[in-house]
Amino acid sequence: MQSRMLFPPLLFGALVLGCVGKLGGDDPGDTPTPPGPSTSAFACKAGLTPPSVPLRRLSRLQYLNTLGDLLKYALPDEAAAVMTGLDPLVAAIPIDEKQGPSKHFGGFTRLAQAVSQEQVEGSYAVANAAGAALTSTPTRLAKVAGACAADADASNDVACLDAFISSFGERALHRAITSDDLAFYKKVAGAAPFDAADWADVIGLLLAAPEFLYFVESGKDAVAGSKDLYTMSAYELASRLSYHFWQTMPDEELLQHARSGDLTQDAVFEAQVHRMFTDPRTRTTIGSFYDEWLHRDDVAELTSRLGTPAFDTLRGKFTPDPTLRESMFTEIVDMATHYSLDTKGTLDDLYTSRKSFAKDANLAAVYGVPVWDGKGEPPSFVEPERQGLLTRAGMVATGSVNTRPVMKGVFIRRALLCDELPPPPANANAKPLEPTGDLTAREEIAGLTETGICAGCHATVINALGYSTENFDAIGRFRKNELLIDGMTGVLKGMKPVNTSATPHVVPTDDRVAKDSREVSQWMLSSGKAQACFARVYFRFTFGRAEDVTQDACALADLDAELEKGTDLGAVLARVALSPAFRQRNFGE
Amino acid sequence: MDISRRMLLRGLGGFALALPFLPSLDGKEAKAGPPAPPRRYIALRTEHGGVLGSNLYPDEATLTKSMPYAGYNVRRGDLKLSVSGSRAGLSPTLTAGSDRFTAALAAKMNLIRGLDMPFYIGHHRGGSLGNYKDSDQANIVGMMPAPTCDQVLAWSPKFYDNLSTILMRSMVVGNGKLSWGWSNPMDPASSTVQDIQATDSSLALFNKIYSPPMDPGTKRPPIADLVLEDYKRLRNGSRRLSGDDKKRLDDHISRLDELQRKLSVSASCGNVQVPTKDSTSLYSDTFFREPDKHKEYWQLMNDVIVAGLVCDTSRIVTVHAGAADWFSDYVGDWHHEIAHESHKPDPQKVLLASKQGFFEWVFLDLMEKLEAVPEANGGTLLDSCMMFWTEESGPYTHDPISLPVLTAGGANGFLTTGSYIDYGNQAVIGHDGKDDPANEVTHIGLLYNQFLGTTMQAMGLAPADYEQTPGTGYGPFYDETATWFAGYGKYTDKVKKAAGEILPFLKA
Repeated sequence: MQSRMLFPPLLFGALVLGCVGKLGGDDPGDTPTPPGPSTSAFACKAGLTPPSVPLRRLSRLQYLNTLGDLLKYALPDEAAAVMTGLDPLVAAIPIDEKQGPSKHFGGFTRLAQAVSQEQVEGSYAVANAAGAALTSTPTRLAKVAGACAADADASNDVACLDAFISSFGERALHRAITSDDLAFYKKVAGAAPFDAADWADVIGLLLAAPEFLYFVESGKDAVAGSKDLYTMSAYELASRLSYHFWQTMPDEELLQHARSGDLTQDAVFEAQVHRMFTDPRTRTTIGSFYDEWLHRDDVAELTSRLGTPAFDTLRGKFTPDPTLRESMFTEIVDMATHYSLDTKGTLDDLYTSRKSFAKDANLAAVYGVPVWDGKGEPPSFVEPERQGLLTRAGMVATGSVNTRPVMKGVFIRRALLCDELPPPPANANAKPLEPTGDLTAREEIAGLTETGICAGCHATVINALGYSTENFDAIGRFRKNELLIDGMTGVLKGMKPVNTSATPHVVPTDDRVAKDSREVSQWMLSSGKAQACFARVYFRFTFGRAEDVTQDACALADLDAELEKGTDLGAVLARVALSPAFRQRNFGE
Repeated sequence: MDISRRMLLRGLGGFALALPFLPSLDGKEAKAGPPAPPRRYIALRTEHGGVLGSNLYPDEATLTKSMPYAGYNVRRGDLKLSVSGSRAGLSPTLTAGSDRFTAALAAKMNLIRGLDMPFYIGHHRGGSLGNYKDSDQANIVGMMPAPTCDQVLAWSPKFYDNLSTILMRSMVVGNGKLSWGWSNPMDPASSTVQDIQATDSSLALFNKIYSPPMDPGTKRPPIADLVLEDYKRLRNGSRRLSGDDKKRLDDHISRLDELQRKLSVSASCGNVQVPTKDSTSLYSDTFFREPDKHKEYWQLMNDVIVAGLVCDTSRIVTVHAGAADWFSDYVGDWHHEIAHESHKPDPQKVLLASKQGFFEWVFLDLMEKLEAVPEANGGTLLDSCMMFWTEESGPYTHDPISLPVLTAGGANGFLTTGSYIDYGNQAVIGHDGKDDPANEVTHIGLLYNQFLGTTMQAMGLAPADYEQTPGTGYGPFYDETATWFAGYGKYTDKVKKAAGEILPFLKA
């Protein structure tokens, strides 16, 4: 079991709960200010230069993928065994946690850029061990570096080592090996003849090199009229493409274009973008983008309350599997990937789809649909109210007895609309939602949060978004009536019709009442905020940094405009690589 | 030297460590007059708070002495252990088996009430050690991240005046974030502050603090020097790099310097058997319903922590019990139903049991193990320690007023122990308890910065070594501007000015 799952983050408890204002709440100056609109129109002006960002390191995933691919290159038939042998050392390298303007909402592991002592020591240990493993027997050494490395002829050792450093080093360092490099990396081996330990040290040195662990970029040509802005070299472009779409080092074809230099030509570059985007490896990466963006860390395991009276009353004859929680998020990723890569789907499809992508019988039972085989046409939902991203089980389930309109609203507001929210007031923790069996979750939340100091945000920009999906219960099942369950005894005391209508204020000035999440979704799209937010989070994922809505406005505006036009998601996701921002770098201070 | 049973540290995880190899126990040193052992720093932090004062502290009547300080009277009394049948305790929370919780151990504790952060912080991850920035609810304009005090110690030449045996400057243990350090500890001025990932694996921790004896047949030098040279080659070469790129390379280079230092460490713990069980092997879907597993988990971890201190491969430990429901079999939503309902009778009972378990099976267990290790100067390993346990919040969850602190050890005689101390100003109420199910009242006290500063001085640092602004204790100082905060406007200039001093009643 992953310890990460055992220790979920304590998510902004005040927002999870209610917010009751009293203490000093008579001071108007204390009322939190509800958010303004997010930047839905990015102002791209001529001459804008992306901000200078410091040297980025490979993410842990990228590092391990690259190591694995290098091992495959060096020792194809034994790479997996060598990698397995490195597992204990790899385990000591810290996990990347999601980072971003808010790690819980639109944060990505690629943005985790801290370099710790454990990372440096871990990668050093792995480099040494990999070197030793690749050279552990004469047979392995011969496979890795050629027969010249293991034969008895010492006269060919230097040439043998030079050739190895040139080929292996080009892949490890993501650039052509220079004569200075040759001299440096073979220095550790001393004078010929070289034994296995010498070879191991050379490999270890290459795998601990700065250009193996970081995206070292020096640029090619200055961009006219822009101080400190340079185009990327062919090797650098190859790395940018490869690490963005595949999370690993360039393949042989890309490397060939880097070597020849023609990757800097638009036509060649665009052809490579197309080739790479349609490669199966991109599917994994796009899946991880959606997973990190849309995975709600606050949803408890659906089995966590099995056996408690209230939850057992709620679930009735349905028994959640231990894997149901993850199945819910897998389904969302499968949906998004389907519309991004398998069909020419659009952002609208994410918000309006009535197809189930449940490949798991337990989740399909929640939806009341057949299991999807992952290949054919996905089955349709039964009830018309189940439509789009907002109504997926992963977006509405809580793992608890009660739904959490506040948390649903906060997620939509922050992760899907990219709006900021001020922190809740201090005494927000005083009154948690406690099912009494008399009130619906909405009624309880309204009573707790929609008066006094809390109303400023809850009544205007949070709760209504969550109310719009109150026609789905805490397990994710459709409902027309809410069961009123006593939280302590589990006694079913009655039921009340759900109420999903509310004023979501997708845009602060829009006072329309939405009937349910279907209208909310439509308004998110028609406001342009869903598109702008998608552009922002995908920018973060692509560039491994938080966007600067001013300086990055051109790249953001381009993505936003394509989404607004209804360009298919696949084209938008690929298009980011064609932007100048992807092919240039600011070397300013 | 005899190897008595007491001097063999035998851990749950299947490893054993013969203490005579502890340098400070070396007979030769004893003949020359034993030097004071190095001081050790151990900080433990648990989640949420919410324990009522009546469950955490001894009776008010035990506060028999008072003295004027910072404009009002602060109070203290002797810690008195009550024994009832097979249980002994200072309060309902601080209770354990009477065969383990002895008067001698209680005499090495201090229980402190009335320490406050003077601004609203809500959920936070580093505030307990002085980095207030990583908070979900703090809303202070201009709040900046700061390194936590354990990391300032870890890189202080005053604290580590000799690094020849040190493999981990600090053991960062547990789950989630607590310790924060510089991106380049050798150049704080140009550094950013970043969190230090904790380890929840006792075996991984053991592998870091234990250095197996060097194989005499190993002659080949490590390649770390050439790796370092490679980074400098890039950093100082002719390739185009931005200034920020160079800073990043500098950060990495400083880490490589530290790696090189560690490669030359010649620590010897003797013939240590590698642990056969790892704390993470206890994880399961039902882990947080099984208090017995929690007990085993922390004992495995404590064994390794003590081993690291005994071997002198580390002198700093931070423990973050980064989940709320340790030592409880409660099934449900702990955060909402227990922590945030904690002032109702039933949730308080559950919370009390959880905190009592942490006290008995983590804090006291660690104390016992430290106390069992004799030092050459006649004291014990515990005596060299500044050990403390605090909570994320005070009796009101999310709220930093009246943060509880339990200390152990005297930091080589720097601290006096055996006191129950209340720094709360009885004339200034924080929470009036009127809308609270338990009617819990808090009083405004001294600043938590002052406590952290006191711990730093106990470790041999001077205020100038850690204060951001002279006289403010450890960590940045912020005033809350929101009037709803229970401490708004209640911290006097006298209290603020005292923050740089050693807390009253504590200095030996």
